[in-house]
Amino acid sequence: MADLSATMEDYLETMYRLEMQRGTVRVKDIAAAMAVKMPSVTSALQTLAEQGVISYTPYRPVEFTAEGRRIARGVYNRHQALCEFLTDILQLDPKTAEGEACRMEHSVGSETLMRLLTLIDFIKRCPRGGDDWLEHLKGRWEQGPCEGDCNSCISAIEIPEKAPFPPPHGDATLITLDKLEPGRRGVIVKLGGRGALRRRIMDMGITPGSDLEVERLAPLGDPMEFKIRGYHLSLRNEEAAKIHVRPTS
Amino acid sequence: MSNEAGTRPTADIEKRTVVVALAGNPNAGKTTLFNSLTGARQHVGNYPGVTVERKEGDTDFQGTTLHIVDLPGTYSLTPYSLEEVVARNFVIDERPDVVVDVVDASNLERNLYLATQFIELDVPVVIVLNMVDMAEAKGLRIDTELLSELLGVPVIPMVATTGFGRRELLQEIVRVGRERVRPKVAIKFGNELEPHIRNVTERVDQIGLDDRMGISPRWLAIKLLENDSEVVDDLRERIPEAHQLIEHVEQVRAHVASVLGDDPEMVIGDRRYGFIAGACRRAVTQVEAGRFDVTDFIDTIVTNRIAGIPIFLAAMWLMFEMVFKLGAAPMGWIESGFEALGGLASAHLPPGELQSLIVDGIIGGVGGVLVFVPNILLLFLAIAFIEDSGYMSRAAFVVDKVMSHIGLHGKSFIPMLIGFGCTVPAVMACRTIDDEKNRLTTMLVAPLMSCSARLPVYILLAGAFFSPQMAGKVIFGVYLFGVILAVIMAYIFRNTVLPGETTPFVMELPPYRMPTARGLLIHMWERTWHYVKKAGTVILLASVIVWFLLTHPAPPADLLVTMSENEAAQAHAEHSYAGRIGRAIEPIMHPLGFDWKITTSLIAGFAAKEVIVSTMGTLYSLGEEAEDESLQAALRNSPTFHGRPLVALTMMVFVLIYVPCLAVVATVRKETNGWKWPLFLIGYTCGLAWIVSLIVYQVGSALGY
Repeated sequence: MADLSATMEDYLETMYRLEMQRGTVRVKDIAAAMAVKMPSVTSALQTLAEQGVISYTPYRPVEFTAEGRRIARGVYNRHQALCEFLTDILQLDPKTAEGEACRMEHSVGSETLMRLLTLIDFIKRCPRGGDDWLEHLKGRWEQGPCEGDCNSCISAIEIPEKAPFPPPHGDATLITLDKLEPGRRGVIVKLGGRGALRRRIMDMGITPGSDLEVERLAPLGDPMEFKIRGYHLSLRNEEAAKIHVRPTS
Repeated sequence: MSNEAGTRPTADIEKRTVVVALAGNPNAGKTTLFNSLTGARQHVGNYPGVTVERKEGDTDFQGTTLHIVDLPGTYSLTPYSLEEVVARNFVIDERPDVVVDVVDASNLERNLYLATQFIELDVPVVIVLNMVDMAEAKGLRIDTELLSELLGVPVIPMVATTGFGRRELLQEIVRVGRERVRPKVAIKFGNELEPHIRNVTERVDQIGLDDRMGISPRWLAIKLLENDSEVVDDLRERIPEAHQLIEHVEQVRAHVASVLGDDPEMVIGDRRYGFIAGACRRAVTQVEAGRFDVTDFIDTIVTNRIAGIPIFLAAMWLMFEMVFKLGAAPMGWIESGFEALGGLASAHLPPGELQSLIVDGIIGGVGGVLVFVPNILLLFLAIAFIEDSGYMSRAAFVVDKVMSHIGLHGKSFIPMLIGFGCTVPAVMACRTIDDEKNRLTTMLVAPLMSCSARLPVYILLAGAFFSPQMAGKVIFGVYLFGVILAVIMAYIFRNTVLPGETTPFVMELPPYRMPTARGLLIHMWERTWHYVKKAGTVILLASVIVWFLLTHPAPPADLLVTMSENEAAQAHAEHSYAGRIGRAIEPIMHPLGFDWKITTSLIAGFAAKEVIVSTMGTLYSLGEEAEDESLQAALRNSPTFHGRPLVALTMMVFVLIYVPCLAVVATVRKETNGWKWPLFLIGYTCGLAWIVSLIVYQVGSALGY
């Protein structure tokens, strides 16, 4: 694995972000995003190219190598996790959190990172943690340690029916096909339902991984029409609700 | 054994017949190809599932007879739909020499899915890449040779409508069919599945199942892993020692499901698409970005949120007007033609039994059959146009929500609408509905849409007992009541006699195409001929029976001498079997306020609703041709009605609900291929008519009307 300086990691992270946002990574955009001059970017890119994490030809968009994208994703994920910890748990304001995370992300090891993520998840989802626990914590930053009656405080906790937050790294980005508005595209992730319906849907080419574009709803709002594998198909919303997609636009 | 050009084939090869199974997705142009190959009369549809019957035709090519069997259009070969099972079993059981799979070149991936399943069967396959012109217009360049190599079967580019590629196809069919050339490539299902497939295949081989089932062991193994109910049940039944294998497969299935996270059949299907996508990536290039797409453009208008429904209603109105307004004139000609014929026969035959049979029974009966022909011709012209052009799916798309509320399909709308004109074509229009339960339900409730033949009865009764201002509203109310009843009955049927899930609404919206005149005419002619042949004979027979019931036995001659002609006719009717039945069941009809005269008219109404008017004319001694006004006056003054509008209203309700006419019963029998549903139709409509009329009369009486 390439051993990269903190600055270089910042470059990778920015490029990864740009790639997600715009699809391509250009020198001009990197310079703008990091508030540095174009020549500095060019020289950083040359260094990165030498390390084998990107391929770079002047005046062409920058592309990650497989190794480079893996490292960039790692830096980005660490940054996100730290930001989440700093804003949601330590309740710092987002701007401060952002700056802190930028400095911390280069030194946090992967084991620490995993544990941090688990802690965030645990606090948010455990009924003993959760929203109002974090609310109580908020008071402590200024007022110092809590001296209240723990028993009455605990008995006042309402245990929610289900976790107040969606799982942070699960299916949060998935929606069912009936929720995908006309004009939007998506990738099929999962087919629900069972038996003949499920099989019929798959036989028509609606398989996980295939792209589709919702074209329109019928005048009365149901059924819906979408384009898949180059042809047009319609499904009732009831059936579309059994197909999970990840929106791509 | 290939025939090199110039070498003379030996005599025994020359004689051979090659049996060809023609398969393909709906809308792939299979029927067009069938017509082009055989010249047979068959409908060219643009709507999924038109071909439900098995059609066959022969053609000769270079001394070989090709016997072509048109399989139902299907998307896959699962055991879940009847059409798919039919197609699959034909290939397995009847072993055609070659399966010709018609594929829409502009929609390659989905179309090839069916092809992969024929390839899996390890039978000789030829793929027809139909509509290559359309694909090229879409900017797709297909390397057919490479595609053929990747799929391991011959691929012939073609345009079935123009005949381009026909000769090459016939040559390939003869070559592959005679030599039974099997696919050269086996579709692989990936590293996780293949070991399991091999393992099951070996076990299949061990018990020699493939020999006994007469099919490729690998295919059997795949079907077992897919838990294909047809294959598993068949195996259980025919080969008792296979149960161990089935148990083993169940374990393997559970294992695969836990490792791959989905049912093996889903994984297998997914891999098939993977195989196809891989082949297409190599053999198909998009040479230019898709040009302006006419289909997309039309769809933005006809399925538009605002314009969609008005356009649909306008299309339906246009169809209705065309069928019944344009049909009115020829219907009139047919009616007057048969009247003239009847008059001619009366003039030339001595009065009596024979004259009555020929004039009233036979000529009247044949006229009764043929009078529907203009409507049926026009309706099927309209339906063929709507289907072949591609609008049918859009119409179903637009109104599906309304119809789904009562458990029906978007396509049920057309039969219901046509029902206002005539129930016979309405029942025939039900064949456009793919799902059997939906089709039957629609067929059973379509008669509740008040047809035009019931209108004369309403006019007579409403005119006699209601003020001119009220009469129209009453008649409209009866129509509306029919619609409400249809909705209720559809709901009831879908939950009682025809329960359960219907085929899921997964409907392709095919590209718009200009229907060919030939296709339209073939379709129109075929449907009408079927009606005349199948329903016609039953209708004719029924007419003769009704004629017999209304005219036999004759009253004693001495009674008639002193009577006027009209009185004699009345005596005839009273004395006839129909009159006697009317008197006999009067007690049943009494709670509805009906006397024997109404009852007898209703019995005559089984033949056709307009007959009720003429029968009442006879029973009230005014003769069959009685003017409406004089008959209305007679009805008002008759003891039958006691001058009560309620009795008239009850009778209108009864006429609305009970069997529209025997032609409908005959048509339902023809369309459902048995007596079960037509008898059910008679039973339920008569029962419902009796109950609803009873409620109307009793509640009305209690309220003092």
